[in-house]
Amino acid sequence: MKVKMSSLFLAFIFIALTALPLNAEDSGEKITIKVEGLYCPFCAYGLEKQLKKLDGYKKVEINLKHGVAELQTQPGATVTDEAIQQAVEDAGFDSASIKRLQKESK
Amino acid sequence: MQLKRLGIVASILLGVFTLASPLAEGLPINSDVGLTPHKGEFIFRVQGRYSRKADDPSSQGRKVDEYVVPFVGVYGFTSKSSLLVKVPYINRELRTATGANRGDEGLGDITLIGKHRIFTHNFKGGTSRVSLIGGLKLPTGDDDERDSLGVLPQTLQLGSGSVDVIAGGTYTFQTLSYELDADLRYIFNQEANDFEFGDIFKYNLAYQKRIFPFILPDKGIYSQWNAVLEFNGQVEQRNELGGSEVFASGGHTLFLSPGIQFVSKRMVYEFSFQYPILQELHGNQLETDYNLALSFRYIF
Repeated sequence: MKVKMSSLFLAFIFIALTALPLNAEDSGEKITIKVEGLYCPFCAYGLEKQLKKLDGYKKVEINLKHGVAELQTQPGATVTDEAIQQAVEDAGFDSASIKRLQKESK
Repeated sequence: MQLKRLGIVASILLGVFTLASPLAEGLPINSDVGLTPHKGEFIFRVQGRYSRKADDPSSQGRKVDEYVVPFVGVYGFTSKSSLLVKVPYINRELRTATGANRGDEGLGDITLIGKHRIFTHNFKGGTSRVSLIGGLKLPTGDDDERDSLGVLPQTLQLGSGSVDVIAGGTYTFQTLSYELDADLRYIFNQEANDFEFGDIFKYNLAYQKRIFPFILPDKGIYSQWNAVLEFNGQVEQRNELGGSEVFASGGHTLFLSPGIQFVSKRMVYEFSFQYPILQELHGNQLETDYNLALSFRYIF
């Protein structure tokens, strides 16, 4: 009986742990882009517009003071580094680095 | 005429204040920049410019009041190349001590200017850029208007009647706290109606300093106020009439132009006062007392 109880408990834990990702909703990627050349509110708006043209974007936030753009993608969407670099260049800037900070799940 | 002028000024003010939104661009007011619009971007600018010339060295007591409203559209074909179209609406009136008033009102010559950025150095929080410009001024304004005294002098016509060529270069160094711009432009004026305006060489130097916010917010895109100081110079060759130089034409003018500018995410409001600090004009030409410019820009 004792063995059965512990087996059931372990089985429950295993199912709970393995089932969790299956029920979770992928909320997309959070990508941080360091941008060189950002100098005023107007140019920041141009960058925001170009990043919002990317397929799969969910949210774009520009931090003008630190020259950083944060891009949140839609669940399941993939935005490539090349597409991001092209958007930054179309806005007239250079991307110093692109960091994919986390693959969020909930 | 007075009512029409008031109408123009009222339209500008109405435009400025009704289109106010948390939106725009940091640029000098009377000078050009090395910056180009982003790819696919359209910028609209309308300006109200008033110029008063009342300092007459002759005994004719001449005065000229000029109101110009240039409507400007700029489109970025790529991140480096753009096309600008300028359509001015002009009201110009000459008055003399004898009470004779001459002048005209309507659309002037349309200007097309292409700009291509040839040098870019982007760094954290700033940029340095050089662009070349080339363009044409097309003879779309009336150049044969008459009044009761006959055909208006070419200098009072709304258009020159000629296709003129424009070439030049611009430089911009901009950071989050200040901006420096310099531009040179040469206008090759051509002959029309047996009259040729002298070629014009323009040079501008502009400095802008962010005065508010003093400390930048840590997040987001903020709005800012800039103090602007420009030097706007112009050297004109003498005009030619029937192949002969017009003695009282051409010269060198340099304006000191302080201004103020509000820049938000998609819109700019700005005001500039131009005071002449140098006027070396040939012959008995009217000297400029001052110019005023009020404008706004909107990015679509």
